[in-house]
Amino acid sequence: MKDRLLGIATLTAFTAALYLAFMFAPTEATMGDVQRIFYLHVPAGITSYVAFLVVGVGSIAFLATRNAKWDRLAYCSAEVGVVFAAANIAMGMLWAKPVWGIWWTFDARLTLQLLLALIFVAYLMVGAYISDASRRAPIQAVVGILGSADVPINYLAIRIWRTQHPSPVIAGGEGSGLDADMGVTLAVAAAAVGLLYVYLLRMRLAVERTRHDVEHLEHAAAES
Amino acid sequence: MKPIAALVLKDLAIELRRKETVVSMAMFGLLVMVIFAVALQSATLATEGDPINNAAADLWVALTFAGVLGLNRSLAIDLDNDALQGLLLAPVGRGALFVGKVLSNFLFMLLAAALVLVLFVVFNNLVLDGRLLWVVLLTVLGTFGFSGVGTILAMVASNTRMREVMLPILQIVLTLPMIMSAVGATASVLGDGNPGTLFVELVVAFDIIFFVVSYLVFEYVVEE
Repeated sequence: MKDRLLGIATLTAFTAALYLAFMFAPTEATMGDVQRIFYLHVPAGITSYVAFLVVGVGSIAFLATRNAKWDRLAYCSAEVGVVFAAANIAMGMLWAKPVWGIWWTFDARLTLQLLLALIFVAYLMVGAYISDASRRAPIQAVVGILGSADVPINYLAIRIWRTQHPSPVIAGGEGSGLDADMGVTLAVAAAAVGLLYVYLLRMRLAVERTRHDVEHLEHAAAES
Repeated sequence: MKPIAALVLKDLAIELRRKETVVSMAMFGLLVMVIFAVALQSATLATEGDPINNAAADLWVALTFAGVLGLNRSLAIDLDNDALQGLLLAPVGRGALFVGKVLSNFLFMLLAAALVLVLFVVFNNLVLDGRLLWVVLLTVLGTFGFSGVGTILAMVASNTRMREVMLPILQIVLTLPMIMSAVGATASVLGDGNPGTLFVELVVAFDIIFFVVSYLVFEYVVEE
């Protein structure tokens, strides 16, 4: 029931966000309509950071408590986070091609997001390739912690680079700021993407719990 | 023809089920591209594009790959004949095991790095002066950071079915911020004799953070 309500809320928020992004928000002065991709590009990026933060927290909590639910939370969040990071990068490319004339450049922000995604792809690979199932959770948690520790250092290392990517327009430096209508649209879109993350994470956790139960039953059946 | 087709189909069937070989090869290929691009970009940005300092990028890519080979070898010694089990049963703390392993990895890597550095000087016709002391110091710092996190990553990789490819994947992904900073510092010091405080600080910060975090989580990787 809770999931259904969450699903409906996500769908409603997305419909509203799409309406606002395409019909309500003003057309950007220099880039034109292509700028509208911003309303999903930015929330997807922010959400991927949140998802990876959850991986770090879940990994630490798992090693501290040994409760399997934290382990499930960590790697389910990593899966969803990789999807959001990939979506963020793909949308960025679609935006960069008409505006910068290129799909990709090893620019500070782009590289940072790519490295972030790759860290958690590697995290998921470790989990998938571990042969001894009973050893998977703690080892994957260790990689989750090391990966999360890497994120701020990556950020600092890349900050030294020049960037062609625009600085954050919200809470950015001087000369930043967003038109009020654009701000409303972005807020709604961010809420929609955030809800989608929570929804996907809950669905993924439910699948994982079911799998856990099935394994448990199989084990019990084999023993009896 | 028939036995050949059967053999190919057998391998295809295995790969379709496990999806290991192609995925890990592709990920490795992607990371090699990324490490070259990122290292070159770091060198270029640190020196405003002085082409001679691309040598700094070469040096660190070389040290990275040499280091990964060494780490793989060093763990293989412990895995042969289950020697690692013996070490874990010995009445010494896990912390002592970790530090000991890090130091021997560090020492081997340093010896290899010394030979690489001599050739680095010859190939790039570098003048023997104070700048080289900085390059040596940076190599020591970078190699230490590399062996600290590498020791634990080798253990992590040894728990997967794809040890030889998972180690370089994890190692490259997680040490990239250190490599970027080390390349930046090396290129800067070769350029104008000043390594850039921020770069050096980041390498040191990486060394400390990853040594401490690896030390803390080591027991979870070797537990039974």
